[in-house]
Amino acid sequence: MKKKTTLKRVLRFWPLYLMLIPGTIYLIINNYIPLFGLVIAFKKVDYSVGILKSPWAGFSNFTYLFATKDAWIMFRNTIGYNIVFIILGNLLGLVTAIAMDTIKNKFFKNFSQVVILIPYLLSIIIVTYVVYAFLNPSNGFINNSILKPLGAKGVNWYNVPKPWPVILTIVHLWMSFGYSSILYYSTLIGIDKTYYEAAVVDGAGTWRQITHVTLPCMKGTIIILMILAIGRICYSDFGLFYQIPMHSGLLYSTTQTIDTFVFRALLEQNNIGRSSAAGLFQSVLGFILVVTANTVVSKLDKESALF
Amino acid sequence: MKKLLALVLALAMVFALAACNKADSGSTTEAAATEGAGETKADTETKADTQAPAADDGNYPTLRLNMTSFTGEPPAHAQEVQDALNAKLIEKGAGAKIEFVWVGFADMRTQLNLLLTGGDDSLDILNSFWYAPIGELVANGQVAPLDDLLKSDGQDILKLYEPYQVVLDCGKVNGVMYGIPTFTAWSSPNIFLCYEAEAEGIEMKNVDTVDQMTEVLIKLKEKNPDKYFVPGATEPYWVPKGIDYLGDTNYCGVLMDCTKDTTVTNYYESEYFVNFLDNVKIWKEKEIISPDSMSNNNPTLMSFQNKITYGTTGYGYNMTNTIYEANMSQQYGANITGFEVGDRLLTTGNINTYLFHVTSFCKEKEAAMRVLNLLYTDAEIATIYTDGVLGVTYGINDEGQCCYVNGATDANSAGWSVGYAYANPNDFLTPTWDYQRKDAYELMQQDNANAIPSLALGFTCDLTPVADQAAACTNVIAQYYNPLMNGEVDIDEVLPQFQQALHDAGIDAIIAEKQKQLDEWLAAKK
Repeated sequence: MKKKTTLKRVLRFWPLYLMLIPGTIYLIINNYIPLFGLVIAFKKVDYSVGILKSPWAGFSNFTYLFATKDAWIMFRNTIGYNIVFIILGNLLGLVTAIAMDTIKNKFFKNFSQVVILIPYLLSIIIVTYVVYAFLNPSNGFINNSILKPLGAKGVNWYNVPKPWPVILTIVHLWMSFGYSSILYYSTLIGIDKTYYEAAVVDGAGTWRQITHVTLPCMKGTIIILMILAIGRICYSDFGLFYQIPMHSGLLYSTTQTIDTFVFRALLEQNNIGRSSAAGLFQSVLGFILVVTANTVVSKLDKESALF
Repeated sequence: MKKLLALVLALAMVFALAACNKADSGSTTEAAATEGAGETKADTETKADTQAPAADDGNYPTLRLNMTSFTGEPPAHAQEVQDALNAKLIEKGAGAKIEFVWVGFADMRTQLNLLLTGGDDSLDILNSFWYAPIGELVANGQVAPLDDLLKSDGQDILKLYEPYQVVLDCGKVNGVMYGIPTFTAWSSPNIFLCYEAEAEGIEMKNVDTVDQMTEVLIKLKEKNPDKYFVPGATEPYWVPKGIDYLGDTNYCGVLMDCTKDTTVTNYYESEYFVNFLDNVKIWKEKEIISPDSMSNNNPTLMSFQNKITYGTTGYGYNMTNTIYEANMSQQYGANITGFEVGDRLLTTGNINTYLFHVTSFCKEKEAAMRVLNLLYTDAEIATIYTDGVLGVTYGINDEGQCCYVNGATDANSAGWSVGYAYANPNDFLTPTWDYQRKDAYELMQQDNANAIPSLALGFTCDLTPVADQAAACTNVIAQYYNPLMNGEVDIDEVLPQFQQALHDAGIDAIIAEKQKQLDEWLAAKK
């Protein structure tokens, strides 16, 4: 009986289901069929016999990730940087979006939107050299135009690991805040203006309007963006961590992440088993974290949870 | 209605799959070809070409062979050279034709990875130079064993290598032949080059040690206080050619004294390395090595050519000929001079840098070996492969040497990568060029005869059992090696840290594994 009603519903809305088909097929082909490739992570691939006939390798493709005592450094860096990036990135994006909303001059509003988006569109190589122009030990902007006039000694930035968490965070925020603020801004302009009018009538100032109208209305978007970001917490922006420090070996204690480690470790070994193993490991951890985060959110506030 | 829906669904599925399939194969062909669309065109032309004559003079298989193109585009006369080569191959009874697959240098690894995973687009013959070490190709099952093929269809190659059996053995992994070394200059000692003007009055003669080289460097610096003579860069300026590093460019476990001792030791704790860094300290202090190494990613000779430095260390085949050629062609914009540093060794690492393979995906392995056999031993075919078509890409001058024709001034404008190359099968069969000494090839063959073979010559180690440690050590070396070599850090403080980090990463396990394999190999050789 129930089956029949489902079928009836499907038939009733068949044009909609028809429209769903291309997307579904795309998903299956692009996102699900390649899942088969995960098998590579457990194989010792021999191209001459093909993937399926290659011998199984158990978990031996994964061990290199944990081979050294220093392995925890890359895990610490990857996850640590991501936590900082998620918190500060979202905060900055939100603040910028709210600030942008208060701009009344239309030209200036559009102008500033474009300007803050530009760093996001730059190639990482260009960003690398922008940063290098600041940090070059002999004629960089910071050493030459800031530290020297102050009488301080120049710092050999690419040899000292300590400042890099700050440098990388600043670069990341500079690159990404335009994009995240636009995501927030698009939600923000969707908020019904009558809420604000009501708040003003009730005597709320700007601050009160932000805390009592804007933020509650944006809660859903904030949480979704957070959960999505948590899913990628084991991945790092390869360009940021590989290019920006100019591959300087001395900075590894603060710049090495899982991705850069894997890249360096496998550069000399054409071993797809190990690279798949790294990818699978990152995805599984990310998946666990997303589910956990979502469970926590749904415990606190069922409405805002992603699923 | 339901049936209709099912039909629509099924149809949509079929179309989508077909479209996807088509798009897929399209992109692989493009990937298989070089980056450019021009190549795809050349490809199809070749196919049409090879199919047409196939009808009248027997059905010859077409074998795909990778060629490197620095620009990413095939050279202008690629098609003519391929046709000429195929005509000759058929004439000489190879029973097969070849098709050049142009791979751009910039994304060579990716391209070749795609061409070596099986399927119809795979390569049949592989030139693995710049791509991957032989051990890796064997571990991935990408290359085929050659012993039987050489016996059946490659007898001329075997004859060519008869006096140099131990060199041919460098293409072996675990006793099985997987690659054929190119017949070329096999030894390359460390060298130092600088501009003649800067070195005026300073004696430039071959020296034995890095310390002696430093003495010359100091004199150069005193004469030219504002110039640098060692290129500090992200690219290595020194490869220790005086030791046998067993083909491992990370130098984890090497033979320090490979003509006498077969003990695998830790390079980074050797007297040689520590002493080298002592020299780096002097270079740094006296500003002989160029500063700002982090922003210089030029290979050594580019730093030299661009006059970032007025001298460079490196390694080279024959000093006499190198300097002659460079000065004839004014490659560096002015006359250069230089000297060799240390012994001229014959090691596996030098030789198996340049190998030709038959891939395991090749369906006509005998034909592939016949083609290789001709490329290595037939002067006409080797000359077409190296210099192209007479009158089109090169000419012969009165002295019997090759020269540029049709207004060409270099390999690029000649429309073919003309001239001697170490990665070509056998360039000693081809005429010399007018910018080379006439006896250039004799000099190189003399060097081959005079080089001192390492006790481990022919041994290739397989690092698979210690792959975890190798990955960890690669990272440690990436972290410390360049800053130390460029003198960017306090060597006294960082060197011990580096050595300790290598122990932590498992360098001792790598050394033990290499020792074990080497001992087994030595025992089997007896």
